[in-house]
Amino acid sequence: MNAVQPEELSALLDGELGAERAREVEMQIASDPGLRAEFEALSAMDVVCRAAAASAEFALVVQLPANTARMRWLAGLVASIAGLIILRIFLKLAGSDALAIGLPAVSLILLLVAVVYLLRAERGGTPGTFISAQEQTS
Amino acid sequence: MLDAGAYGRALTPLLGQAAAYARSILGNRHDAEDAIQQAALRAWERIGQYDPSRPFKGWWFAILRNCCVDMLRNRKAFRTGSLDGVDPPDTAADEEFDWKQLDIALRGLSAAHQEIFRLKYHGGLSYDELADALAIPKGTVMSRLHLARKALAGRLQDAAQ
Repeated sequence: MNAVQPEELSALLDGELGAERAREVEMQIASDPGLRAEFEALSAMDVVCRAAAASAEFALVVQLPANTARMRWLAGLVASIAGLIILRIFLKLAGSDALAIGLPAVSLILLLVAVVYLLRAERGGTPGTFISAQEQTS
Repeated sequence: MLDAGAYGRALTPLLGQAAAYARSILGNRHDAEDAIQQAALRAWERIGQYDPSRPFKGWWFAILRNCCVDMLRNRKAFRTGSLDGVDPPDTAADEEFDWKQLDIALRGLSAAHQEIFRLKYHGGLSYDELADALAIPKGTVMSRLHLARKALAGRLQDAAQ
């Protein structure tokens, strides 16, 4: 069994030693009063420092970028509407009346979906704006 | 690569410790909030550079650390009062050993020891995350953190006498 290196006491305290080495170090700590005293001192300071560090936490909100997946979805929707309008113009020019009536209806529905989506986004702060991350409490 | 939603979900659990970490470096809540906001945006701009096989926390805290350092540099450029650019925390009204007292004790340590100690205790980073954030081997993390603890113990002991 290798002798305990000083930094291994810290690693044991932090749970960063492998299971086997942690057992070996614990055995040596148990049998060596000097090591035990050093480990206990480190442990005591660790508890105090953790509590002190945690007292610096505070609640905050950060602004995060918009959800790009939703933005892509919205861009696709707008592109579809534009495509349908262009297609309608071509069909109108070609003299196809049935499709010339149906396509504006589909375009109108898609446009309404986009408007509803944008209104919801405006209220919920999702796409096209910045959104707030969840508030943390200390 | 993380999308905005995944980025937000990864970042949200870190905010409390990020607040403690930035506050311990910058000395006040207002600047800590600014640094965290800046880090959140800077990290998002660089999200393409993030390697998902590495700990997100270590990567993000490295950016936060740089933001804090930038703010300290800016302060140094405009102020002359504070010795190291950090506003000394007000301790007169508080005898309890809280982050302000810890901060005072930490200032007696070397910059490298302060850095690793704050990332460990305020940021709550693991050794792997510390290695990523500081760009040092894990073995160095272990020894440096231990030396920082020993140095701090010495400072606290001196202060108690």
